[in-house]
Amino acid sequence: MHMVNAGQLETTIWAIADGRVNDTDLALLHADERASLIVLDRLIGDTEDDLVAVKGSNRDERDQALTDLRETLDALMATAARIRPERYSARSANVDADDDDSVEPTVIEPGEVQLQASWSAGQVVVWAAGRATPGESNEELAARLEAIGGPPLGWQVHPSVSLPGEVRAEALSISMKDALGWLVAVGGGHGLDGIGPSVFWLARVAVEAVRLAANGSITPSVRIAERAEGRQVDASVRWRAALADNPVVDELAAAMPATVVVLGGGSGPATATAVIAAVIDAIVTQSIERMELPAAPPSANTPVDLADTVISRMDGSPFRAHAAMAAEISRRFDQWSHTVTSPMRAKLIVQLDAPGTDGVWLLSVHAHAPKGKVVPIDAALLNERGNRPAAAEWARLGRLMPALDRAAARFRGQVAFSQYEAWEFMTVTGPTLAAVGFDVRVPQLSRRKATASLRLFAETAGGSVVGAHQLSNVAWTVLFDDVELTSAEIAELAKQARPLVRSRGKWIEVDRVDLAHAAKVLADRELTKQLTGAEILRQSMGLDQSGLAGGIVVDGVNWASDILRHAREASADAVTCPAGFVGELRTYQAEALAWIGFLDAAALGGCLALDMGLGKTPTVLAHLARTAGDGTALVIAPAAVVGNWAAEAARFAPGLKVVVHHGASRSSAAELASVIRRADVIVTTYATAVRDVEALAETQWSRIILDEAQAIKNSTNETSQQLRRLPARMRLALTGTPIENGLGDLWSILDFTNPGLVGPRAAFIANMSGDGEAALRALNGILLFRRTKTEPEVAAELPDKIDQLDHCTMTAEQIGLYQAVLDDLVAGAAGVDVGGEVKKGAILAAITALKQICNHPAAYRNDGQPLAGRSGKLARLEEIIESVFEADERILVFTHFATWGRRLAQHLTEVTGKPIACYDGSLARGVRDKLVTDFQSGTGAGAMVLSLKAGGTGLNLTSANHVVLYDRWWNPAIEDQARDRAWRIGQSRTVISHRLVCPGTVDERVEEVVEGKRHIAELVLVRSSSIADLDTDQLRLALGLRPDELLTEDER
Amino acid sequence: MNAPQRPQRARANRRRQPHARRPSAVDLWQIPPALPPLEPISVPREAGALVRSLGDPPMSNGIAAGHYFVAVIERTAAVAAALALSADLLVTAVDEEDR
Repeated sequence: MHMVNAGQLETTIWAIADGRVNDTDLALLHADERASLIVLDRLIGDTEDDLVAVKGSNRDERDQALTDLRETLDALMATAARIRPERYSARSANVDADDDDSVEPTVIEPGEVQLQASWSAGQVVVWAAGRATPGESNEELAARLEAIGGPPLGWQVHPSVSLPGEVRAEALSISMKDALGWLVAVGGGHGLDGIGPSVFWLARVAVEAVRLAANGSITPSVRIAERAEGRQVDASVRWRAALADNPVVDELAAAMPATVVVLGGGSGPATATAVIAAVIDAIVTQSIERMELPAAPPSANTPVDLADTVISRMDGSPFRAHAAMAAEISRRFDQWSHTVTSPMRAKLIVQLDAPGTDGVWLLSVHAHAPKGKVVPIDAALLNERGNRPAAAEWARLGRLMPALDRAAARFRGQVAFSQYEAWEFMTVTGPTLAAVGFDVRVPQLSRRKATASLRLFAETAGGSVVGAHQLSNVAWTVLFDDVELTSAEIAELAKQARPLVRSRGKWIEVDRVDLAHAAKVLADRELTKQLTGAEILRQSMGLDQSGLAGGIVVDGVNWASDILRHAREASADAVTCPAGFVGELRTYQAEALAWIGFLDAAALGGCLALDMGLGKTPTVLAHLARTAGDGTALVIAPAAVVGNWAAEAARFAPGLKVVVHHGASRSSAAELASVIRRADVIVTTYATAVRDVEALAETQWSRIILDEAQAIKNSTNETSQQLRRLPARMRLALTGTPIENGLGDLWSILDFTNPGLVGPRAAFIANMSGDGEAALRALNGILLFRRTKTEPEVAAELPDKIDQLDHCTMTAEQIGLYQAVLDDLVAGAAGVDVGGEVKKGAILAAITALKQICNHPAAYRNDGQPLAGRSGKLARLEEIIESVFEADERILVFTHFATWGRRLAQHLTEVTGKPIACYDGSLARGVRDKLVTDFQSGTGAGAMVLSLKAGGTGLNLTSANHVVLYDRWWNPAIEDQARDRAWRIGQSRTVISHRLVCPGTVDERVEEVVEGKRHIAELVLVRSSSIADLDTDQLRLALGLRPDELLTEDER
Repeated sequence: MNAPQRPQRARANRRRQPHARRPSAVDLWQIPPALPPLEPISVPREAGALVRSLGDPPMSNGIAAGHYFVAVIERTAAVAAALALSADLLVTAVDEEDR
């Protein structure tokens, strides 16, 4: 390597700047660009200083001198721009701008006072002033320093600082040792309020010095004082920075604010060097203070004594030594450390190349050569014929890397590494070499541990992907991140002391335990050469655990991969206004619809698991609407929601021909086939479906939809077993709670929708063990579509409140009692001649009684018997509460019968195991207030029963987001007020309100009144007559049971 | 060795020691160029590696002196790391990931 000194470089630079450029000069400029830039910076700084000086002179030749200097500056900038155009081209433009008086420079605004720091005589001098603004007094300065967390101790009053415009600013000074902590904090971005650029600059330089100290980039030297007495001389050990020749320090030096040297001082590089030296000295002194050093010998007049003295005086304290010996040791120290303290170092390149096909890692050492070339170190050393810088660096490298000695003489600087050595170099030796000034180049590596996953490659013979039962040939490998390994490769890798793989361009170490585990997993599977599509799909979904942390990846052309690809792409088909659907789906509903479409196309079944209130029914109706004409679909739902299905179909999919098949008047088995042929959708109840299963099984349904599919969560019960007999191309289960009691529930649902696909129940539960939500995540988007109200994107689309009408059954006891009360009323009206008012009172009392019976027989006749199993409404309420509690949410239950409310609260407490209070007018005010406070402050699952009269107004119960109106009141405004206990300011969630109604009873007629479909008078006044005028037939018509509409217990 | 040659048009004497810039209204209050980005400070595995790479110090009993020097350097590195830590400048484990 051709090295030049600073004088040669300066001559060359002037030649280039003066236009006398030749190839030799340019080669010299580029041979050591760093050294060239140092010289250039110095020359540019000098020229700028001269420009400033000449501008202020009044001499006659001023203009000519200015012109000369500007031209010189431009020429130097242009020369520097040959090396670093991005930096010097911009600076050149700035110089031009500064010289143009018409351009306003970017300066600190007048009146803005900032804390400034100057470097003077090894001290930090702080002052505060601004352009055209008087400087602050020392008291103000002290207050400012205290406010920003400046050093509390060590300050001295410093002579004031003279600023342009006859302005003076008082100043304080502090040693670097006392200021260092503060400066480093500022450099780290702390306490920057009111900090001027000079403080920040000093702070950043201090940080760079701390970086050097932390890196160990310091070396000792012996400094000789100028004063000597005879043969004796005063000397001291000084620690100085090494490897300070880095681009960051250069850039800092170039960016030094003028305020740093307002008290005098050098150029940016010189000042930066001085500040770094002061910081290093401060840290070393502090470090050595507590070290126990050997005692110094009485004199330092022999080489041994001098050496011992140097060691005992490492703290920098002065000592007297023999002048010649001190000079010699000082010179030796300078020479010893020259290779790391010189600004013109020969930075060697130490490069590790990844192995090729031979598997050998090659380490090679190179040196920079003229014209930007890089040559092998062997060639560089030969060419230099003992050139000192490269040889010194080569020797230094050898001390840190004894492995270089392994190279044969003719391959000096080239060593083959084992995988173990390569990893050691990449992770340990290489960073150490880089830290001590070598240019280390290694393949990229990642310290992250590679994650192992099982890869299943499956190809169906002939490329056919026809179905779940088709066999595919399979091959098993393991992926460590993206690196695929066969069992043979794993065995080979396991032999390495340090197993490495290359993943995404980076080398990663593989855990040996992971390798052994991967080998075992592969060994367990390698005998399996063929799998069905269903088995592959099961593997893909993690239903057959891979045993590796990263799970399983399935590739190849096969049915399962095809299914997964379509599932991934399904959301791209999401439409919010599908054909045949009146209305607009929310985004998640559109995605659910796309997913159902994917299932349908793949002839797969699935579970639509939208949270309660998220609109499962309209979503499914949208699918049925757009597939109308493609066979008949069968919807099986609890009796409570059959009416709702019909109503929602009429509203959202009016084009669908919907037939409700339940009740005594339903079609007979003989008629059913014809009815089914003419319909798009048959809606029936679970009980009816089981009862008519023979007839229903005669039809090949296009789709079977089970609403509230938790009805089949027990796979062994009659309903589950019978419904499996119904043939369908696609089965869809709807539920808001796919895992009520455990993973077994989910398995039952999925096994119904895709018989056999998810494997045996026990294996399913074992592989999905633990967190049920994890199972839902694994299956989501494939066999299950799950969205919850708590998902922000779902919540964002939800309305504030959702009102839901739930149709409830009547038990035999309820029907009998209802009929008896009605019969009594009719008999009384017919057989006794009573006055109009009396008759009117009797009718109204009967209406109340009938409503109580719809609630529960015990609500009408408090018989002290247990409540369970005697009321369809109560059963529905229990279902709702179960779902709400499952979601860990809270619910309010309103009834306008206070006595029944208390009884209900007691029953629900027994059923749920949670204390459920009843808020009614019989309680003292204090008790009621406490109930509200306790409920409102509670979290998690909870419920409260309230009487409509006492609790329907005024209360704030926003901790609940579910409301049940157990019975109806004539005036809808009263019900709205009740619901508004939860739906009011402070409520952040969607409030879901359930209205429980028994169809075919007086309950439903009250509902019709509330809905505004008829006036209250019409309920009992068939014509425009008085209630007292009703005859017995009219009474039966107005209040009696309507068998066609009635939902009976066995219809649930 | 030849003395550096200057361009003929530059008449001012350039071979002089650097001197302090005179404060002027424009110079002093001008906003300086942006500083380079700040990188966190990392602590090397072996702070004494640099002095070790230089070989034994050139003095009697150089081997012992080398040990003392390394001790001072390691202690200095620890103090510097503590300073960096106090200013939130020390590189973290997360920063180290995939560096």
